[in-house]
Order: sequence, then structure tokens, then C-alpha cells
Amino acid sequence: MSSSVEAITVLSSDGDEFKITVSAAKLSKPLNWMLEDVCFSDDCDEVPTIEVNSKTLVKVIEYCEKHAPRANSGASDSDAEELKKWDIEFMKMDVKDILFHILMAANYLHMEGLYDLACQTAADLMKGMTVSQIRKIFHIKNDFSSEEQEQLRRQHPGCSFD
Amino acid sequence: MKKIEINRAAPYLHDEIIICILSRLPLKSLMRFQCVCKHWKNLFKNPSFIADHLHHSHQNPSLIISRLFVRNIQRLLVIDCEMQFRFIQKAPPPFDSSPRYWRFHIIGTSNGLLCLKIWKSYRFPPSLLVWNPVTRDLREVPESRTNGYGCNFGFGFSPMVNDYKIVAINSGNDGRVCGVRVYSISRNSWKEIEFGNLKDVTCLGLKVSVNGAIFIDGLTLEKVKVIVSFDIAMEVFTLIPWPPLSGINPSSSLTVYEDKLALLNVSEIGRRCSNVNLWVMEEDISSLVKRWNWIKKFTSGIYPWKFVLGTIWRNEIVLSRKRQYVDNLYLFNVSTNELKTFALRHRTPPNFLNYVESLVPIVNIHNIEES
Repeated sequence: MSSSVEAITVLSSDGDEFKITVSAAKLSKPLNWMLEDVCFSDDCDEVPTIEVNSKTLVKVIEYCEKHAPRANSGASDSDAEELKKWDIEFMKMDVKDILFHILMAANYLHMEGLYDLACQTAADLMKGMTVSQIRKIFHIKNDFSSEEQEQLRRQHPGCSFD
Repeated sequence: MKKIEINRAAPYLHDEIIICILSRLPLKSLMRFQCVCKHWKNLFKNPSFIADHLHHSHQNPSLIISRLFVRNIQRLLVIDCEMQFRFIQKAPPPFDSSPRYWRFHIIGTSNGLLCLKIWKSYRFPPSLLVWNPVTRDLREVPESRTNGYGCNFGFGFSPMVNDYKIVAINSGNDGRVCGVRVYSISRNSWKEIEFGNLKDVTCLGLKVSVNGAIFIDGLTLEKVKVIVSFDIAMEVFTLIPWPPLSGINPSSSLTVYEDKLALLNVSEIGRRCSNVNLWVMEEDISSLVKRWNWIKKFTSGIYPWKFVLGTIWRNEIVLSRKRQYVDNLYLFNVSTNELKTFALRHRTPPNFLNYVESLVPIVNIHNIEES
């Protein structure tokens, strides 16, 4: 890899081009491996594709760019505190409908920090949901027979299958 | 209840991701989600899921309090990390039919399990129970009746042997230790153990468990305060010196700070004032001369009232006040020295215990590992 490279270009699964700085890309192990690969040397035109859609990739890159300075240099407590607040805001944005995509991207790109954050956000959203809401978003079918439901109700009075 | 709008075509998540999310849910939600499907119901019994969940639960610890309510019914109250109060509704099964008569004392808590000394009625001696109030798993400890003049119990977990144990230290009429028995949950039996170095020690009432050991405060024949440390895996005792406390009648409590044995103490200053100190035990295993080092980590300012010690919860010292008729909980932040006050709806006694909710079963305990 040429040391003059400061940002790299990647393609999303929709075929859009995105720029990501080298320091931000280092937050992801697979991206880091790509960096070490020859395809980023100056005389190579090949642009690698990341199997994440454009809408999600924008968010992932935003997260990486924000977290890169701290990950690379270590930071003071006040920075960490500020970053925590930023994370909360970041997850509050229209993330709800792409949260699952972010989860999959963070998992695929081996980004521990983002993955933890997205899992916690999903857990916070899920905790107040009803059983039928949960089944709907996770595409799960109720596979309990009516006898089994009856038995569960006896063991845990007040439990609901809807 | 939060409303959530997820794309109609929410993508299918890998099981691995779903499990990661579920392991971060509070147990109240998980218990409800058992009814989602069979796969989830079985997942919540899977030892590695239980260990993952416990790991996250340790990051959101609660407090537990037992107290008497109207009509003298004793109940357990949990305060979660969002300062929400909740009753544990169901008493352990043999006792839930006549809650008016049962009385209990919490011997200790570990990974979501409570060890209780319970009186079924005033006419009978107490028996011991190990109970997970969330899953309602229960073990009635056999032959738990005590002999001798007094018996000190401790409860804890050792990751090394992956077992929960109860230690019962019996004292004779002179107060000195005259016998020690240990109960192991995985063996489900008691055994007598050696206690040579405890012969001249009187065990007192403070106790706590951390890092595979149970700590109980004691007094030597020379009336010197010591801490009796019981290694849960090896079943041996070690005597640890007491920190060099100053002040008149310091009252103390054993607790845990950053996974180390810690001691809180209130020094009374003058007739009405007091301050709070936190001592932490730094163990230096390599040093034969000075293996046990007490470091004073925190000293509060002086306040014009008398604190009653509680415990350490997250990074805060939990206290209440002596003879106070307004119910407040005081939280001292150890790093910032900030004092926060919380008004409590219920008058609470000062014996707060640290508690984490868990799915840890009592029946098949051998498979569970603390992460």
C-alpha cells in the first residue's frame, strides 16, 4: 500500500462509490486487510465492493470517521464522554428502519464498537414490545401447540402469546 | 411501551446477531419472550446464552432489599440501575401459600441466586434455601439445621470449580469457632472441614463474597479485628488484617469495589457529624511480608448527620441516615465525590445487597460459567 494514500474508494452493494479515510477504514478488520492488499496501490484502478447497501454504508462510514481519531490515538475521559453522547444521537437518527442493516454490516465488517452499540439499541427498542411485535420483526412463527401454550401459561401465569 | 416502526421488509438477521441482542435484554422481557417460539424458549436455557446474559447483567447491577410491609408481610424489593423499584412478587414455592408467617434473612447473593435463611413458622428452626427469584428455581438445602450456640453462614461462587457453596461456621458458648461445614450446590451435600487457624476466632456478622472467596469479619482472642477469608474452591481459611481505622466507634461494612474486597466505614465526628471512607484490599501474592495492603480510596467530606452504611453499587457508595423519617437514599460517587439524594417511596432498612438478575439454574449448575 502506498503511504501517500489518505482515503480509499469503495463500492456499495448498490454500486455507489464512497470515500473512506484510511484511519477510519482501520476500524474494520476486513477493510484493514483490504488496505494491506495491493488493490490500493496507486497503479491499481480496481475499486473493492463492500456487501452493504448505500444507505447503510453512509451511516457506517459516518460512525468510522467519528470514532477513528479516538481509536487511533486513545482519548481523554471528556472525549469518551462526548463520544458516548454522539453515539446516542447517532442511533437516534432515522436509524430505526436501517438498524438491522447496520447490525448486519457491523457484524460483516467486524466492527466491535458499532456492533455492541447497535445490539444495545435493538435490545432497548425490543424490551417493551409484545410477543406478536417481536415475531413480526424477526419473521418468526408461533410454533407452540395449544397444549404447550396451556402448559406455559400454567408455569408462568400472565404470560402472553400475542 | 415504545412504539417502533421497522421497515415492513425488515431483513432476516442471523441467529448469531439475534442471540447477541437477546443477551442484552432485561430478564423481565426475556421471560415474556419465552412465548415467541420454541427455539427461543430453549435458547434461554442454553448455558452459553445464560453466561452471556449474566455478563451483560453484571454491567447493569441492581440492589435488593428485604423488608416488612403492612400486616407484617416480608417482601423483597429490587432497585434496578434506572432507579426503578420492583417487588419480587412470588415467594419461594413452599412459602408462597402463607406469606404472612414466613420470615427470611438474605445470607448472600451471587450471579442472581439468593441464599436465604427462612423460618417457616416461629416454632421451627430456620432452614436454608438457594433461590433464583426470576426463574423461580429453588433448592431447599438438606440438613441445614444448625447446632451450637450460633452459626454464621456465607454464600458465594467459585469460577474455578464452577460451584456455589454455603459455609456454616458454628460457634461454641464462648463465641469461638467450634466446627465448620460446607455445602456444595453441585454435590448437594454437606461436609465437615478443617478449621485449625480459626480456633481462636469469633466470627461476627459482616460478610461479602467476591473472586471465589467469602469474607466474614471476626475477632481474635486478643480482641483484634480480622477478616476471615474462605476460599470456596480449596475450602481453606486465611486470616486477613483489618484496615487501620481511626475515629470513635467506626461502623463498618464489607463490600466489593472493582472486583476487590472493600470496606466502608463511617467515622463519627463530634456528636452529630460523620464522614464515609472506602478502603480497598490490594493483594500482593508475591510478597510474603506484606501480602495484604489496605488502600484508602475515598474519603467524603464531613456531613452534619450520621450515615448508615449500605454497599457499593456501580461507582457509588449507597447510604441511608440514622433516625431519619424522610426516606432518602444517599449515593456518593467515588470518582467525583458528588452526593446525590434519592427520595424513596418506601421506608427502607439499610441492608442493601448487590444483586444481578440472571437465568442461572440451580438444578444443572455444573454447566454454567461466569464470563
